[in-house]
Amino acid sequence: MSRLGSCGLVLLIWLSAASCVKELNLGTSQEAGKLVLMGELLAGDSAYVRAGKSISVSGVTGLLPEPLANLTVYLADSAGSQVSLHEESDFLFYSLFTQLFKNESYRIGAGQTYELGVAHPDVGHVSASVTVPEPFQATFLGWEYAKLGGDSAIAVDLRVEDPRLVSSLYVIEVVRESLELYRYFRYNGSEYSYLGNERLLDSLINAGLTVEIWEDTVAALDYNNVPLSSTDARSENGASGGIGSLTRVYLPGARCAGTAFETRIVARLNDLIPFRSRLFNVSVRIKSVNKAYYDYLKGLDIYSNSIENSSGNIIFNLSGNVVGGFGMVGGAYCVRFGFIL
Amino acid sequence: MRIVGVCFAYVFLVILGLCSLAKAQHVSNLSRPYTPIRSASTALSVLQEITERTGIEFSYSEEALLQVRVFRFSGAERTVGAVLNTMLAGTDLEALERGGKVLIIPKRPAPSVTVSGIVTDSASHEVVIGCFVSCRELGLGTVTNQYGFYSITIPVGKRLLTFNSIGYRSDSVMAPLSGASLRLDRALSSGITLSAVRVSSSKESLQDATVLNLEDITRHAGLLGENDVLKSLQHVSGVQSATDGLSSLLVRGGDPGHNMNILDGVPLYYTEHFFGLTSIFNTDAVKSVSFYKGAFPARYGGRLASVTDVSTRDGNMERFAGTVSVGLLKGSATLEGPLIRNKSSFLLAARRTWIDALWRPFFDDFRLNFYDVNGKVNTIINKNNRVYASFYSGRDQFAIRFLKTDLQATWGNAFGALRWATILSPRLFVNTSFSYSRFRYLIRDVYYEQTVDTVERSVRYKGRSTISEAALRVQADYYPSARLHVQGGAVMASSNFSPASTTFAVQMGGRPAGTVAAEPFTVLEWSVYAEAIWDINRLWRLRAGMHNSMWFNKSFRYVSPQPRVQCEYRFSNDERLFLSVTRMSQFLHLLQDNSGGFPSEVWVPGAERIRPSDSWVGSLGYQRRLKGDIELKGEVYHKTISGILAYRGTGNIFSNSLKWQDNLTQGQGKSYGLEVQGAYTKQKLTLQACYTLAWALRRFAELNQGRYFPYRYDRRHNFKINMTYHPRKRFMAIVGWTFMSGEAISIPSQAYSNFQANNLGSLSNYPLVYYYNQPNNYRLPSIHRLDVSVNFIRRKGAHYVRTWTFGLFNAYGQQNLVGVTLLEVSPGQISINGLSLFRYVPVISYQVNF
Repeated sequence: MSRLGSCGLVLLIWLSAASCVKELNLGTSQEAGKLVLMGELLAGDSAYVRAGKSISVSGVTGLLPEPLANLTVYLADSAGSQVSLHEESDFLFYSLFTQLFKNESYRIGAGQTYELGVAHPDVGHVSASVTVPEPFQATFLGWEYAKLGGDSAIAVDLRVEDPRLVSSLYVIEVVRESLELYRYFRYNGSEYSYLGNERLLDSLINAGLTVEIWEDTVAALDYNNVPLSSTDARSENGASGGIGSLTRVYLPGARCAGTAFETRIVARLNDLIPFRSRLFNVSVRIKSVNKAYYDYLKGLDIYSNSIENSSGNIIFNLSGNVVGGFGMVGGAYCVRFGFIL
Repeated sequence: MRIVGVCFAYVFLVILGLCSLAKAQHVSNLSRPYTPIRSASTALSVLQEITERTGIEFSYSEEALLQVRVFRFSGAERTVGAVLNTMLAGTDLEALERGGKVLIIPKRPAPSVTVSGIVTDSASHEVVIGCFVSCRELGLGTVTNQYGFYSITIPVGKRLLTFNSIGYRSDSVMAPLSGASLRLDRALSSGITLSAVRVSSSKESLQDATVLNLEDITRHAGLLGENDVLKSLQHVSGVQSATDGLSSLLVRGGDPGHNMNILDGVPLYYTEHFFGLTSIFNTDAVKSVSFYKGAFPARYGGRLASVTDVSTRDGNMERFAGTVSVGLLKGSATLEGPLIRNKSSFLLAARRTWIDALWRPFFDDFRLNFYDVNGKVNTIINKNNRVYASFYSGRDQFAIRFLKTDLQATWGNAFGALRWATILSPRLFVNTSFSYSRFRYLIRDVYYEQTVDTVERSVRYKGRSTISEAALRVQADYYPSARLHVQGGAVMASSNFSPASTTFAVQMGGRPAGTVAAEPFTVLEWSVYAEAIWDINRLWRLRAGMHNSMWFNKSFRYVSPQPRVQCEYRFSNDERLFLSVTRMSQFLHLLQDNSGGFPSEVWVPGAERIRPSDSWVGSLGYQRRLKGDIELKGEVYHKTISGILAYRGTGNIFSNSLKWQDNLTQGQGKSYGLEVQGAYTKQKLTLQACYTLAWALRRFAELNQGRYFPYRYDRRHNFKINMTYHPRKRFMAIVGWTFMSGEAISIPSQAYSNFQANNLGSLSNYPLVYYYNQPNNYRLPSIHRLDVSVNFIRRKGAHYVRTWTFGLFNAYGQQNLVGVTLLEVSPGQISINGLSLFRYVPVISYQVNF
C-alpha cells in the first residue's frame, strides 16, 4: 500500500505540475450600445428612475461611458396623462454609469399601470410598462439573535395580511447601510471630535469634570442587500445556490393558505456587522411585486453575478421589461421596518 | 352423345399429342449443341448470342437477370442447357422450356431443413455473440444472437456450414441435411485474431452496429491507463467526448443523456465514474459491446442518439479463473468459475478507487471515490433452456466538510435481473427477463443553528432524486426462412419517480420542520415492437420495423410510434450502399445543472408539462472492402430533435421542489454531417482512422430570439487515428492521435449597470450585468493530442498472463482545455482563462489473468 501511495502521490504532483492556465484571445464586441432604464415605482413614492447606455464588452480595455446628453424620460399613466422626469446630476454616475431622472411632485398610485419612455436622438427609444400592486398590511413581530451555520445571526419574524394573498407575489429583503459613528465632546464652550483628542477627553474625565459627550452618525450610502436564509418551506429559496446565498426571500402568495401568513427570515450577523466601529441601519422590506419584477429579481439573485460560471452553460439574459433596450422598472407596494444594529 | 364424347376424346388426344410434341421440342432446345464464343460475358449478351445463332427464343425478366454476375465458362459447355446452367449457377434462377420458348424463371422451392444451435467458446463454454453462420454455396447466412443462438433454413442436401467469429478459428462442418431440422451446436476455438477494428462484414454491418470485444477495448490508450468501453467508442466516426480525455459520449449532435446504455439487457441511467475518468462498465467483465448511432433496430427504444448494448461474460464453466489489475486510479478483481462443471457458472467483478486512501488517514473531510460490483450466475437447464441471474451496484461519492457545513453527494445505479432464454423450436427463440433497477441521486447539506433560548440543533437540507423501475421484457426471434428473420417483443415497465425532494429537518422558533417534495409518481411504459429483416435477393436487403411506446399514468399519456427502416443494396459481398430512416423517442431527460456546482446531472421524467423528446435520423452510406484488408465506410446523416430539456438559465430543480417543472424549458435541435472511417489490417499492424464533419444546433424560444444557435459541442472536425503494432506475443505498442475542433462557449457582448445598485442608489461596488447577443458565440481552441503506450505480456502455462502497461497520455503536452473561466478585469473588460489538466499523464497498469 505504501508503494501504491507513493505512486499516487507522484501522480498527483505530476498532474498538478502539468496543469496550467492558458489565457485566450478575446476581441472587442462590435455591437452598438443600447439604452438602459432602471428603477422601481413604489406606490405612494415619487417617480425616480435611472437611465444610461450599455457598453461593449472588450478583452482589451475596460470602457467607461460618457453621460448622454439630450436624454429625455417621461412617465404616462393609464389615463393618458404624461409627466416628464427631469435629469439631476449626482455623484453616482461614475460608479453606476446611469443618470438620475425624477419628478418629486408626482406620486405613484397603487393598482395603477404606467408607461415609462426614454429617448435619445442618436441611440433610439425604449419603453417599459409597469403595474404597481395593490396595498397590503404587514406586521413586524420582532427579532432575536440566532445561529446560522454555526455563525451568529438575527432572525426576524413577520406577519403579512393580504386579502389578495393567492394572487400576490412577495419579496422580502433586508437592506443595510453603514453608519459611520462619530463622537464629540464640549469643553469650555468648544466642540471637539473624539478622534485626535482622546487624551484631552481622558484627562478631563480623570479630573472629575463634567463633559458633555454626544455621538453622531453619517450614512455611507453603501446600501447592500443582506444574504438571507429562510427555513420556510413555502418559500422558493430552498437550496437554490446554497443556504443563505440569496439576497431575498421569495414567497408566492399561492403557497400560503388563507389571507395571512407568518414567516421568519434569518441573516448572519457577520453580514451585518463587519466592523465594531460602525453601526448599521437595517431596513426590512416586505414588497408585493408584479410578476415580471418578481422573476427579474429572482434571476438577478441567482444568475447576475456568475459570469465566471456562465461559459459552459445555457446562458441566461436577464429579461427585464424595457422594450428595445436593457433594464427593469419594477412596480411594488412596500412595507418597511427599520432598526439599528 | 357418344359422338360428342368421341369428339372430346379426339380433341384431348390431339392436345396431349401437341403437348408431347412441344415437350419433345423443348428438350431438344436445351439439348441443342452450342459452344459459347467468349469465355466470359454477361447474362444478357449470352442470351442474345444464343438467339442469334440458334433462333431459340428466351423469356426472362431483365430485373431478375441482375442477380447473375459476370461469369466465366469452363470450356466444357457444349449444349444450350449447359451454358445456361453455368450462367445461372449460384442464383435463384433456372431455365425451363414452355411453348417453344426457354423461360428464365425463379427456381421452384426445394425441400428445406432448419439448422439451429448454440455457438460457444470451446474453452470456457461462454456463448459466442455475433458469430456469422453461413452456407457459402447458397450464399445464405445468419448471425448468432446475444445468447449464441442461430437458426438457418436451407435446402436439403450435403451442405458445408461455416462458423466465423472475431477472435476464433473459423469452423466448418459438412452436414448432410435431410428431414425437418438439425440441431448443430458448435464450440469454437479461440486463436486467430481476425481484425481488431472492423467496419464489419456485410451481414453484421447491416444493423449499422459497431461491435467491440475485450481485445478492441484494450487497444486504446486511456487517461491514467483506464481502458474503457465508452472511450473506445469515441474512436467511431460521429462520436466524440464532451471533455477531452473523459468518457462521456456525444453522438451525432445529441446530448450526453441521449445515449441508451444497456448492461445485460437492463438500461442504466448513470454511466460515468469519477466525473468521467472511467465508465461504469467494468472492462474485465465485458464480453461484447454493440453500438448503434443510427438505423436503430426496432427492439431498442427510449433514447435518441445511440445505443450501447453491453453483455458481460457468463463465467467460465470449465475452471476457476480470474483477473487482478491495478492502475493509477483504481484496483479491480474478477473471479469466475463453474458452480457445476459445464452446467452452471458464476462471475464476480469488483472495482474501487484506491487513490483516496492517500489522504483519508490524515484528512477525512474530503471524499472522492467510487466502487462497482458486477455479478452473474448462469445455469444450463437443458439444451433448450438456460437461466441467468445478474446484478450490478455502483456508487460515486463526493463529500467535503468545511467549517460547520458538510456537503455530501452520492449517486449511482443498482439493478438485479433474471433472464430465461429458451429455444421453443428450431426456428423460434424466446428470451424473457425481469429486472429491477434503481438510480439514486442524493445531495445533503448539513449545518447547525441555535436560538438564544434553545440548545443547538442540527438543521439538514437534503435534496433527493430517485428512479426505480421494475420491468418485464419478452422478445422472440423467429426465422421462417434463410432470407427472413422476424423479431418481436414487448416491454412492460413500471417506474417510480421522485424527481425532486427537499427536506429541512428542524426549524427554529418552534416552527414546524418540513419536507418540500414533488409528489412521487408512477409511470407505466408499455412498448411493443416488431421487425423483419428480409434478404429480398442477392442485391437487396430490407429491415423494416416499428417500435411503439406508451408512457402514461392517470395524469398524462404519451404515445410514440417509431418506424425504423433500413434498405441496403449490395453491389457485391464487399460493397454496399445503405439508406436508413428511423424515429426515436425519449421519455426520460438528463438535466445538466448550470449553476456550476457538482455533481450536476439529474434524470427527470416526462410528465404533464414535460413532453418526450423525439428525433428523426436519416442516413445514407457506402461501404467497401478493398483488397489488402482495407475497409472503408462513409455516411451522411441528418437528424432533427424536438423536446430537448434544459434549465431556464442556471439553477436546479431542487430550488423549487413543488414546481420543479417550472424551472425547465424545452427546445429543438438539428445536426448533420459526414462520417468517414477506414481500417487497414496486415499481420502485425492494425490501422484505424475516422473523420467526422459535423454541425449541431439548438433552438429555445427564450434564447436568441428563438433562432438556432450552435450547440456547445458543435465541433466541426473530429479526426482520430489509432495504430496497433503487435510484432510478437510478448509486446504490443499502441499509438493514437486525436484532433477535435474546440467547443462553443458564450461570451457576453454588452454590459450595463446593476439593477440593485441603481435601485438602491448605492455606492457599493456592484458587478455589471452582462448580456449575450447569441449563445455559444465563441470558439475555444482545437484539441489535439498524441497517446502512446506499450504492453509487456508474459505468459506462463496455459492460463497465466501478466501484463504491464506503460505509456503517456498527451505525450507532447498540448494544452487542451478542460474548462474555461471568465474573469472581469474591469467594467466591460473580461478575460478568458482556460484550464489545461491532462498533459504528459503517465499510463501505468499491471494486470494478472489466471
